Amino acid sequence: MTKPPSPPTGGGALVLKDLVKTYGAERVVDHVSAAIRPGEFFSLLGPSGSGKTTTLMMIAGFATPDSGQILLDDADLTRTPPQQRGLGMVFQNYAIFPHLNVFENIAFPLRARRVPDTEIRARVNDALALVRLDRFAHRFARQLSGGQQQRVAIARAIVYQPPIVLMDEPLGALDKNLRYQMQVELKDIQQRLGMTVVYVTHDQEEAMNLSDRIAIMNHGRIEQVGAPGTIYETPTNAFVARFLGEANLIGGEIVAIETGIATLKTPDGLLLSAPAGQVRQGQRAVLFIRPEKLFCGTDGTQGIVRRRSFLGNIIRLSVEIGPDTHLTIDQANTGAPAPEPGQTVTVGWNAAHALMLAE
Amino acid sequence: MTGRRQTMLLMLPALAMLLLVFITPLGWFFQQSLISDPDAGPLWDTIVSVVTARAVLQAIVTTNWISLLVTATVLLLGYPIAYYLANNRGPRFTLVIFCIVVPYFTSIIVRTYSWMVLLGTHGLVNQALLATGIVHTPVKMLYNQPAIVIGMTYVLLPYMVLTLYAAMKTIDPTLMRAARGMGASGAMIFRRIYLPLSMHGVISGALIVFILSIGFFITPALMGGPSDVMIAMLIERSVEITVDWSSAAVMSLLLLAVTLVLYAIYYRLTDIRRLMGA
Repeated sequence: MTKPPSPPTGGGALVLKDLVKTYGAERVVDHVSAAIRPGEFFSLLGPSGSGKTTTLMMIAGFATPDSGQILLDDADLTRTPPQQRGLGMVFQNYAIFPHLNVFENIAFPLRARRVPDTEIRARVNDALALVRLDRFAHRFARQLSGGQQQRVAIARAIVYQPPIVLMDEPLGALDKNLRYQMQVELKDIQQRLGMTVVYVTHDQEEAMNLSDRIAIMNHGRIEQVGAPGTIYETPTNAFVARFLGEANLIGGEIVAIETGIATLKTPDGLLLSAPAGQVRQGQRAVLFIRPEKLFCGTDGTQGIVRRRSFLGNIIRLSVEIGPDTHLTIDQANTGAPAPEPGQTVTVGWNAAHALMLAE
Repeated sequence: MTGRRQTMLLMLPALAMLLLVFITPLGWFFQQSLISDPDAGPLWDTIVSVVTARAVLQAIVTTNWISLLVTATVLLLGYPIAYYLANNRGPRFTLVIFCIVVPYFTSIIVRTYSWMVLLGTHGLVNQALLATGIVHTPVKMLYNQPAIVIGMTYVLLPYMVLTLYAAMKTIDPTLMRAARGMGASGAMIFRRIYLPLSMHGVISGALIVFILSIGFFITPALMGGPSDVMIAMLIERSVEITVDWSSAAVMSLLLLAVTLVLYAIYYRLTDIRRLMGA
């Protein structure tokens, strides 16, 4: 397909130690710590205002933390100006220089490092091949599609083989189909080069698809760090459960814990059981279960189907199991008939798929 | 189609105004002085005698030289001011834009006289120099070329600053941030990114200032010395003193032609800029 890419460069290890950043009265980043491993794809995922971009800007050097440390392969970068950090960065709007062609855009970081011309040519051509833009070297940004501009930005960020590549919502401006395609390409490039990537996004699907580990951020803090599967299946709190994918979260009070199984009583009097996790007797808590883990069977909780939504690949049911308690059920659209609204169904789930979370 | 016709209709009052107060007197002036004037010789002879006259050639050189000096000075002063404006907000922005725009709306004669008050033999600058003992006799700062350049620079600075500001405002600040993140020094960012991206503003601003400079009259007439004669002053002398209207008309035509050519260049540049989507 294309020339073989440059050999894997290996990524750096990045340690964030207790970072704090305050703007005015607002603490935007509140004691953030993380250890990012060499070659890891690490995402900061959170709603807007959660401090993920500020954290990234502190890593890049465009913001200085009030306290805390940033270590790259054990060297302290906390007060190093951005131009001396040697990190790669992909911006949300690509930040492609409009007056330079694709070749010169990608050559820019090499020229800043006074790399000889012959080497610049070789390395830019390698980078162009890697992002499959060989034929576009002499185009300008305005002559490129969004996806192509995105590839230029990525090539420019990796051409000088930085130890860490930072990406700030790099796919945010692309439409949904192209975004998925670019995710696949990005992941492929990252794995081939063995890069360490710190990736900021508010798109949970994107984060799950790309990341080795995700840090879920909220109000300037990291709520949970882990592999996508781990966070998705066993969130540590209701915010994480709600933010990553769809979740049924039924509030109530823990009335009993027996052999690791807690029983929760809802305000409308239902009794529901699930693995206790960290909750204690008498505590307010939520029962967490993913909609796709619920099924209509013969054994479980009785309810009435109140709504049925056709979402293409899934059929989503809203089932009333108590006067004030609804469960969302996602059924794969396998062609089997789905229950009609008004129909009484029995909702079941595997006990291991549910979890009690402290509120 | 109707939209276009409507636009033309809306422009009609302005066009009529332009025709009445600008084109008609101009045509009348040229007609009177070059064709109907019984004293005037054949048109071609007049043109040749005017453009080969020593005084006219000297004035053309002086005009171009002073205009170039003024354009360069205005650019050097205006670029940092425009940069400051483009990168600051709030009270700082307001203060600087106020200082730039208020003189812009003040009469040019008032502004020229205020410089004469400052630079005269008994002016404020000389008084200050004498009082502090830096000099013992007043320095001659008026009625020479530097005085003209100072006065014209002050008058023309807003045109440059506002043009550059408009150009700089379109530069995306994340480009500078990206360049810094890629390891570029401040000097490299300016040379390779900021300056090229603001270059169309530099060219537009320089053209505007140069176009306005070559037709300048009041400031050089008031602040210049006897040898600093610009083309507009020569035109005025031909009309008022030697009453040689045909020469005045030829010089005016020359000035008008140069201005129109420069304006055409300016127009092309701004048009291309728009085509490029900048």
